[in-house]
Amino acid sequence: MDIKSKSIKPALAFLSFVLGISLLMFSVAVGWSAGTLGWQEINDAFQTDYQQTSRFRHTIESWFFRIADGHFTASDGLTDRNLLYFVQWEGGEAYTNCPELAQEQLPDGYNFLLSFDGAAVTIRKDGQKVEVYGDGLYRPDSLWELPGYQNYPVPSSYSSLTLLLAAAKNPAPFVQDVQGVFQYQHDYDSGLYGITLALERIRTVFVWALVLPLAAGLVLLLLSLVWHKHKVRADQAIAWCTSRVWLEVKVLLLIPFGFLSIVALYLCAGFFLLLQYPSNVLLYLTIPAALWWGYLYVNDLRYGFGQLKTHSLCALLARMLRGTELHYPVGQRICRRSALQFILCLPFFLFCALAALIFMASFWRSNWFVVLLFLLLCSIGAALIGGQLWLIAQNRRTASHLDWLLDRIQHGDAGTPLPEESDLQVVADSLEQMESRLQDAVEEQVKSEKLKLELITNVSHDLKTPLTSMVSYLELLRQEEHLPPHVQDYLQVLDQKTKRLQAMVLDVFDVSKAATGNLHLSVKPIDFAKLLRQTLADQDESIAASPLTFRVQLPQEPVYILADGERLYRVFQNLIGNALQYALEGSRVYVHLETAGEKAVATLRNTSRDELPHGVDFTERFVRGDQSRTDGGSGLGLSIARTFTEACGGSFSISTQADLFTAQVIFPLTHLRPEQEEPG
Amino acid sequence: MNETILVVDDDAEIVRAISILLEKEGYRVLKAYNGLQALEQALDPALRLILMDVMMPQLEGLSAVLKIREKRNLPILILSAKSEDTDKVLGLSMGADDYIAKPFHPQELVARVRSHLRRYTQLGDVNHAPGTDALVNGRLRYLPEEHTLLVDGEAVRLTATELKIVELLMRHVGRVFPAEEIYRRVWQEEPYSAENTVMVHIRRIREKIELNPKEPEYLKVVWGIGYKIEKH
Repeated sequence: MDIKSKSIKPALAFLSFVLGISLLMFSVAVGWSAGTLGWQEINDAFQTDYQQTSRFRHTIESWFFRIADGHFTASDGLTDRNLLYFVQWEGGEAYTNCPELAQEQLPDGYNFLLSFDGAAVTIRKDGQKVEVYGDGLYRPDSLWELPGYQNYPVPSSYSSLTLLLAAAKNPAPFVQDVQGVFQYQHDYDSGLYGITLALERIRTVFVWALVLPLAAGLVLLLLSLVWHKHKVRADQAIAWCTSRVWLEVKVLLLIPFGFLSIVALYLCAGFFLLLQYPSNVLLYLTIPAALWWGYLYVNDLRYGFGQLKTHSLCALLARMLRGTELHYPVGQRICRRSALQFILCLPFFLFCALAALIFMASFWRSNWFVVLLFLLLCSIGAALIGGQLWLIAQNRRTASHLDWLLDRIQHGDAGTPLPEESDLQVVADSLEQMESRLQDAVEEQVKSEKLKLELITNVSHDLKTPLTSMVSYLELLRQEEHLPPHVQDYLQVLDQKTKRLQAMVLDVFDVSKAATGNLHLSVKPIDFAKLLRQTLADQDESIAASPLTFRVQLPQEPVYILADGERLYRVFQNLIGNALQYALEGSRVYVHLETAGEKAVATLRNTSRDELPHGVDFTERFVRGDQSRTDGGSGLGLSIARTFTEACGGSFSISTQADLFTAQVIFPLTHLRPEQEEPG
Repeated sequence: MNETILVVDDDAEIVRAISILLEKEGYRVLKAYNGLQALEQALDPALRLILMDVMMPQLEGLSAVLKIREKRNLPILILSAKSEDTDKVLGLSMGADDYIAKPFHPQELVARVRSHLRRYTQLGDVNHAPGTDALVNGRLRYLPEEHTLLVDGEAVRLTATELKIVELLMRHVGRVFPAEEIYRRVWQEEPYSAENTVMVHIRRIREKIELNPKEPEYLKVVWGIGYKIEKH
């Protein structure tokens, strides 16, 4: 199937649906109004012989009574020759429009003869006698309503009358050249031609306005049912179009169209309107028009329901006022302000319009110029309002561009570029420049970070390799037997210093990694109190061996924080090591953990052996309490403690007061709990 | 004993020191100073174990390990100045059996070599070991019926309490036990000063089963949560 048929089929399906329903409705309406005619009339309309119809019989009857009652006299005549008569009252003069009729001779073209002899009526048709009275009793359904029945005797006044009436086989319209046509006082039309005309009209209307539309409508409806799938697509396409119309417009349009439909229904209530004025067919067509109007509404509701609420002038104005499609308050405020400005001006415009209207209403009769002035004022007002709306749109555009810029700054997402002529093009350009400069700077930084890490790795490798040799050969030396005591002493010193160097290299490596942000962390919810207990238990031996007393106060219930346990252990290992190394012999070390609000605060206090220097940041690298640097520490312990704490998301602080040294590690509490590992 | 070990390092002094250390233990030592030499030497059929440096000229250590692994199935221990976890994982995934960071402690190195050799040469014995329901995890092997812990196939002398702790952790390798739970299960009473008591025992067990008790590989503390035996 090619593309053309894809778009044509829905259109055809929809068209056949619309036409089918319309035609059906049209024929139903016609049929309904035709119902007022009565069955007899419709049946008569399809008789091949007009003389078999009740209209013909009524016409003949009325002529009979008109003549018999003396309403039609010798001084009257007929303008046509479709009806021939011969009338003679007993003792009176006979009058006729066809002298041959006196001998009961029918001229050519006439096949119906009614003769009345003063007692009964005899009808001959095509030379055959027609039964007039039946069984002799008159009933409402008797064909002929003429005197002569047993229960409808001939009035006595008719007894002296001889009457012959002959009807043409095929009534012709008015004939001009009838002799003596206008010699009579009154000229009547026999009405026979009129009967054929009326019957033909009914026939025409039936065929063209009832039967054919009904058949065509059914066929089309069937077609649209077969193509139901395509019709649905057409419906959706139409809904797509109609959903773009503002709700207010739809509601307003409902009023005139609904009115039109009601009027049309009212006007079409009678069939005779159609019979007498065939042009009224247009009025009948307005009935389906009303239906289709409703259909559009239903279709709109069915396929475009979501759009109905948002796609209205009020919603648009509200959106304009709120500026909700903008993400940032700045743009929203700009929009709101400009919309408000317009709304505040509206009362003034309305007042002016009202004043102009009143002015014109009062003076338009006196001077046509007033009307001109009014129109001029109207167009100026419309132009002003249009201008205002245009300005609002411009402001909104700028606001949306501002939104775009802010979005870009916040998310770094470029998306579609700003149009060339935007007010903020200059800003966008400079933002772009700034971005590229920033990008360069970031790249530069990443490069330098990478370089730094490489350097650290290399330096650490270059340090570790000779260290390995030193350690190995020291071990070999130590395994030597029979070394003189002083050599053993030297060896001891070498061993100590090598160990320190080793510790320092590892510490430097750790600190550098943390400083360059290359520390791998596995942050999990852990129990802070338990970690402290474990660390203290782990250091139990060195604590017991030291001349210090540890006063530990930890909560029994778990204190959950988010941290890397391995690193936090290093933090407290270093802090305890620091205390063991620098605290005054025989003094007490206090280890506390308490929760304050949403924070867990661990505090370690000890009294320094040496006087603490004033104004020194102990967490700086290589800073120590004593300046001589002869002890075993690398000077990196507290620096590592701080770096690791901060890397895990906690805060680390050192404070000194006289000889009191206080280290504090603070972590926010977490609601997460350690997941129970499955038994292996 | 006389098993042959190949030592590969671009630093000749380190190779010499390691050789002396190992020869003192009674091993025969082959020496190589880069990856290519290592490949040649690795063909020696008497070879039982390789110590391999990573950063070397000509052929880098990890590539050499890959190449040797194609031909030989023997323990390869990596010696490296890179001590990052990622480096370790990389080395082990290349087919190395162990990863020893420089600077290493000479005694630890010797202990590791011994451990791997024992496991390698006694692999056959391990399969015939009594008690099919033995709990095996790397170097550790716990025989529940005999209440014995074998490290590299050698029984370790543990006290009754230590055995109970080891049994508990070996039965649930990888699972983390809080000190209180260990206390309750082993001592069968309400925990009192559980952390310290358990930690003391853990430390003692480490001394007996770990090659370097300061950097345990099996019996680990999960800081802030509990204790476990890591799966190997």
